[in-house]
Amino acid sequence: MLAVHGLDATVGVDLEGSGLERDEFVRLWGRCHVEDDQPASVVEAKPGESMELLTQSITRGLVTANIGRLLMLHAGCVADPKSGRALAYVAPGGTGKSTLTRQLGRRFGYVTDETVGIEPDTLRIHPYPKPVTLAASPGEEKIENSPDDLGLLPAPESVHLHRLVVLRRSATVTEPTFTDLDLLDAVGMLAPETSSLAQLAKPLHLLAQIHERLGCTLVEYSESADVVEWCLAQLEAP
Amino acid sequence: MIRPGEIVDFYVHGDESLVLTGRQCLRLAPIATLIMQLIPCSRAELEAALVEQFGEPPAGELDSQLEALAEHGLLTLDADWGQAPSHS
Repeated sequence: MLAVHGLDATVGVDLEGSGLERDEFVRLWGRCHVEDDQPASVVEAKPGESMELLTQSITRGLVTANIGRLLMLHAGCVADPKSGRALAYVAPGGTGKSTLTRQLGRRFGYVTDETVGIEPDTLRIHPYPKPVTLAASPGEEKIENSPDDLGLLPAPESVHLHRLVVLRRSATVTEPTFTDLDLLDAVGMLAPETSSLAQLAKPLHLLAQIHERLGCTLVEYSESADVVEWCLAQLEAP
Repeated sequence: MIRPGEIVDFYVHGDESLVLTGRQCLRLAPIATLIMQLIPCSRAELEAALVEQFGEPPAGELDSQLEALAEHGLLTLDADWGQAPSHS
């Protein structure tokens, strides 16, 4: 059956009776689409449901499958195609992850615009290159976009966390600022932007260990174009 | 007695800390951090340790700290927690 693989899990997708077309689904989900006759769980699209709502249900299904296993950050992510080094940018929903992903993903491999799944012991990332949720133009309703249509590069085969950023978008910021966060500030900002953090072993200690290894930078900005080059430099630096 | 609440994780860094419950992640200032490190214990034991570390607090400050931490579910207060110890 139609299924989606991401975050190291697979969920079946049942479109029957929803009015959503299989070909359109496969086009949008091309980078995650698999066929699986016995998926562990199935997401059923409701009659008249939009593709955007279905995407949310699929994400919930994949997140649920990884509870207690992966550290799941609400973040976009791109990775260097050669080294697999990844930049994850953490931010609440609707505050610029997808917009930044569209710009970064033309130079580095697109990993996800929504949820970054990280193995606690190795910091290996399991990609979730879902359709990118964007408005065609500012003010319009957001729709799903195929990563291929947006010209996003594929994720490398092996991806691991290399740099961690917390995004704060504000219209009042005139010049972007880049502030290295101390450990407690970083963990305090990261913890709320996770899924099922409490189900991991010693989750605050895990976030603190990641901060000790990689650091964490607060990026405050108003236009994503103003921070693209800084973000790209984080993966290009030795 | 004052006892720990339903804490998922408690991380101390310097004299401050972060505590994660099933609902939220909170950053604790030094006094609250020391309280969380000392419990379970009696109020009298807690007060003695805090006075030694931070000096005599303003009247009522310790109780309001404890009640605030209890409201967030970080600790539980037994029914007789605020009573002075008996000297029989």
